[in-house]
Amino acid sequence: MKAKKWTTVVLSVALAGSLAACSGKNNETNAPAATDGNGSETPAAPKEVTLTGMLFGDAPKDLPLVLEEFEKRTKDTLNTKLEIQWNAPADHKQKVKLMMTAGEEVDFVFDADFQNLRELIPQGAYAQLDQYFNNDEYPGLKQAFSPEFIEMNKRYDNHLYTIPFTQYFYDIPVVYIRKDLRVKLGFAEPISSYDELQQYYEKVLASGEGITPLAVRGIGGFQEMLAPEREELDTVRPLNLGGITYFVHLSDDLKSVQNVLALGDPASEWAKLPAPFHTMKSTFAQYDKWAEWSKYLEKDVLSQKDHKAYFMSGKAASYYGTISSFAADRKLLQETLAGADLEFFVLKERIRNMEPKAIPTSYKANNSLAIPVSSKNIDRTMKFFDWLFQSRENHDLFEYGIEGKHWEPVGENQLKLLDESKNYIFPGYEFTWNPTMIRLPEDLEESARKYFEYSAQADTYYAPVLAKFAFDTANVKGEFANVQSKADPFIQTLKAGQVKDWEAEAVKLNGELNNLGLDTIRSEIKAQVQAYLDAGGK
Amino acid sequence: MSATPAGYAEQAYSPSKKRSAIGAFIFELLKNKFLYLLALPGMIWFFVFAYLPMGGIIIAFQDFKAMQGIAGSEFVGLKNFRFFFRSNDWIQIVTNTLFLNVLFIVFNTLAAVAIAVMVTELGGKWFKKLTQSVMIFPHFLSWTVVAMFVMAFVATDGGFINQILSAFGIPPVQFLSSPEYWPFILVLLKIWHGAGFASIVYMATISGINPDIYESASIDGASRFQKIRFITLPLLKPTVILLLILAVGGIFNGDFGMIYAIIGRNPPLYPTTDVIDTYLFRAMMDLGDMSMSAAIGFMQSLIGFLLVLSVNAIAKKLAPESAIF
Repeated sequence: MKAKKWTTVVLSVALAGSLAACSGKNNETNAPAATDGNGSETPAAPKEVTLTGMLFGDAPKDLPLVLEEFEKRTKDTLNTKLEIQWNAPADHKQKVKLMMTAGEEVDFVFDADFQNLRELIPQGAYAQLDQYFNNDEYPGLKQAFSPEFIEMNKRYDNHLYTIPFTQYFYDIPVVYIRKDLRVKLGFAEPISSYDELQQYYEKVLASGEGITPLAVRGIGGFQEMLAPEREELDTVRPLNLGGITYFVHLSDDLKSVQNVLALGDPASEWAKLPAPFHTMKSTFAQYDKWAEWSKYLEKDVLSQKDHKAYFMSGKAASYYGTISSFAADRKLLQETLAGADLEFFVLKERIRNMEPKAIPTSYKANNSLAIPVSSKNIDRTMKFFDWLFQSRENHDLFEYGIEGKHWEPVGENQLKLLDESKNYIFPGYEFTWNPTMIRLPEDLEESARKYFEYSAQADTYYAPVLAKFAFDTANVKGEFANVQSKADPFIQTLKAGQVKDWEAEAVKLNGELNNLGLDTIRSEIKAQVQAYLDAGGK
Repeated sequence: MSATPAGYAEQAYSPSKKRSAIGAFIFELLKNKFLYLLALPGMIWFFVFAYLPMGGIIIAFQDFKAMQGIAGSEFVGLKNFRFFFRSNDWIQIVTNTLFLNVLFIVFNTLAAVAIAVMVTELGGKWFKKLTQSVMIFPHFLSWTVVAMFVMAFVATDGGFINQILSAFGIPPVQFLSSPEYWPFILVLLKIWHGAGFASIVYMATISGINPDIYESASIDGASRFQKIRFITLPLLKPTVILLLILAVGGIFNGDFGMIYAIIGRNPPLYPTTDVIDTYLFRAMMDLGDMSMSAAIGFMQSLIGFLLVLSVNAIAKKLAPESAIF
């Protein structure tokens, strides 16, 4: 008995000791990092440094060749070596978290909102990077990251904690259509409106070949399809949290929050909003359409886990997707089904017509790198990224590999992948993507190229009111979990068009959610948005 | 006179008793040092990977923040457990978990014992080996692969079962939106997947039974069925009970790998298939909060542990030889 007690004591001491050791190490490494961050480097021949980092996915086979080339090119300027640890995608999140807990030294990690960013930044894990951007000492970063891009990627306390990576600020949602089938069913011209799309679907059904008109994913449903085309209102802003869309009603001077509404709230509350948000029917006009269009989906749509594969096997006449996968999907379809071809219908009218300022965006990059405060090489890491974005030549070395071996440039902003490119597939979204340095494949279809170029233009986007606002769940975690798990089945069923009388159902759900803390979340949103506005946020 | 030395000896005995207990322990260690050395790697493994991490249970009672670590995170008592019980859904979810697991345990055990008995009764070495291998094989298929088979069977359009039904002119059954079929389907899959593998332990036990017993029973004129009924099954009982007790420990853990792969996120089937683990997955999708997940995990293990204790106590009463401790 006594022995047991003793082992317990020893155990707990050992545990506490190891934890104390962790936090101690953390503090130690913090101090030099901080001074290092402010000290300036002598430009000529810095001493050699090895930067270690963690990304996820498979290491490109020819990465050693690229690194060798990189070291050769920069021996006299950067004198930097890179050591990248590639984590399994499923483990990366936990590994980064543990690494930060243990205070282990690493110079850069991939992190994003869908990973640990939202949790680790407020906890002080990552270094502030504001000073490196828009700074003449770092011309590469200055040139590749516009002040707005940086401004919009700043976080809670209005500081930048990431190097944001993106090529476009929006992946245009489309419906991919079997071109050969469209022609076969008597439509000479490509589909150019929802009416034509519906006619096409009717023809597919009538053909009696058992082909499903539209394939969508069970958990995604219709998503952006049939969404009402309307001007954005500055005073009524949608906010998507945990799968539920809230509408924040602001005063006309955009200085204070009037109310926060959620699906299923009483009609009297909706009536206070300006048109077209004054009723649920008009706010969520697409829901009736979804129910009507559900006849074009497969019967077991809710259990569809891979709608693209379903389409590729020839069982569907179209499927929901985004434009970024066009080239790859078209190739796949042509390889899978002889004689088949792919084209797309852009869902939103203003984007379809490529109008300027058609896409609202928060300019937030979905992917980014962060530099832990414990890193001793923050300046050197940023110098590396500065070098990376100084020229296309530097950038393309990492993104596409060695010129002439893995790829060849075509003109200013296109490329041709060579056979060896299969040995160098680099996840640019984790390291190199930037809106100013895009190369499109030279064999890209003209129709797609136009939309890619359109989405690369700065003028295509605008930042709506509250674009930069980010909700912090810390105070309402329990409520958030309850509301999400309760609402999720309904929202999912709704999105797949399986709820006919959605208004009544939504009101019923709303009542249940209120018992689970919807109101607490609502007032938390209200408070946080108000604080955001008071702090000068727009 | 003679009492004195005895009394003396008695007095001297009690202090030396302690020494000899420690001594006996050391003696035992020294005597069997190679056997203990053999066990050492396993013991270290358990210590490092099963006992040390138990300290982490503490985060179930904290508002755990990675940067602050376990030592620095705020202590919040039972707050992390509260969210699970706030909505009434937990009753349904816990019921599903228990119901499905009881079905799994009972039918899997029955099937495994039946397979073990039948395979051992089979003649023909070659045929026996083949049967055994065929029945064990599904165990090595991942549930993701199995899920694809299942879809091919139960799909409404073009599913195998519905094709057969339509051949007989019966209207198709929408399995994927009818929750009532799923406990049955899941149990069937579980048996197909695991019973063959589980039967290995029972087969090993049966082959350990002294053949003399069967021989003498045969001499007494026992039929094959009687031998199974009165020899094999009673001798299997301790093993069955032992494995049952172990299985009960996990009765509060839904089989996430299986249920999430097969059902996925298909709301119409939640009424009968949503278990604690799949529910938790949905609730934590966006939050990813370690403390709240740890709290529920801790609760599952604790209840499982208590159940093991009570089932063991019952076993001790009814069949003392099969209790674990």
